Amino acid sequence: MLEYTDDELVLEAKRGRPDAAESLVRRHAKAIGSYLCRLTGSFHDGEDLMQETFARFFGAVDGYQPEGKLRAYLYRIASNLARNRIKSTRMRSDELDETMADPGPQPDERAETRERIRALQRAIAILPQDQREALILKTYHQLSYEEISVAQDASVSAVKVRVFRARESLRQGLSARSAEKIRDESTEGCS
Amino acid sequence: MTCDRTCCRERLSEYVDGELNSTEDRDLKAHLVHCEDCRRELEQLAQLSIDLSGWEVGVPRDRSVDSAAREVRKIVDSRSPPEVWDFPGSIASLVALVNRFWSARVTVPVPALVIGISTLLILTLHQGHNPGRVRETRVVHYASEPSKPGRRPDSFAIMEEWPNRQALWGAVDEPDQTVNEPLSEPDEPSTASSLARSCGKGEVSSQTERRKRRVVYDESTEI
Repeated sequence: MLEYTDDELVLEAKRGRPDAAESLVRRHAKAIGSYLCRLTGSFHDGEDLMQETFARFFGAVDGYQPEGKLRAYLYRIASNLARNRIKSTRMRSDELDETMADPGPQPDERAETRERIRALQRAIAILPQDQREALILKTYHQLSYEEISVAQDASVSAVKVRVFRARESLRQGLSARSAEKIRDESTEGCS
Repeated sequence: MTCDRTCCRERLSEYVDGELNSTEDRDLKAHLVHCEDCRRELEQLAQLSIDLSGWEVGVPRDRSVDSAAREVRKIVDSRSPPEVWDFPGSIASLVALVNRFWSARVTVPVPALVIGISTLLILTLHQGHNPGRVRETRVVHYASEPSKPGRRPDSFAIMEEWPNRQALWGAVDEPDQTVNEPLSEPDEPSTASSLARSCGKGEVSSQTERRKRRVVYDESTEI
């Protein structure tokens, strides 16, 4: 079956075809939504902002130049909305929304793994915003450095540095946490 | 890390991301063979990737996606250009057509040419100023008159039985939104959606649409 590209669908939407716009939404909604969930730390904020992302895009669709970068463009709108939301809600690492996690049953998941992931989430939450965005876009959405540079309105080299620094911070944070845990265990063993 | 290549760690990050070109990739792999620090660094990055992959989040629910889709449909619908008759465009097309005939030196009798152009112009003007007039007239006629002897006796009764009769009245009350389609094609699939739009209710059943079609079609064939 012939599948339209993003830009073809945008052009059709510009000509007033709502079906094309709907196809675009259905194509990207889940990815944008989960990106926003990770960024805001809230499942409900993620859903809410996902809808707003598309509304903003189609509200100003005439300004979009079809250059094959729609995905990056949508992530850019989503990032801006998430920044505003985070500013307004003053999200902190200790305010992670429990509903953000995948609700599926995980009976055999080890407590240690859960704890490690939780520590990772906290470490990500305290990263600078641009590093957090770059890391999430690269790790979970497989955007290229070039696409991330469009999404962040930055150079490719700046994106490389952001991803690298984000990883360094996470690694250091997790190492410090491991060292702390080992120290605690040894203290308990002594007492 | 005691590796003397200062940019090595950045390169490793790019390597994990699959962003190195073939030359850089080959160089880094060659370096990794004899650099234990970088190999350890790479293992840590791999472990971090595994940890990161454990962070799962729920994807937006279907109803949320549906809601977003509805919202953008409204936005796109609201910015759709109205379908108006392009009078200057039609005149220009007509002139171009005549010009083409003229330049091709096609021998057409002048009276025939004049009659043809006049007919075309009248038809275009008529259609342009009265979109949907044909259907509207027939529907109103049937809806407002009781059955007469000689006509199909159940034709008005069918109108009475319609579950969505109000939807049809809505269509009649809003002739500007009625789509101008030929009545001689009763099974054309696009009509159900166009009627639904013109009614503004969005829930006109295809059965109702078929009934309406049948009535109108009966009317046209009966004559």
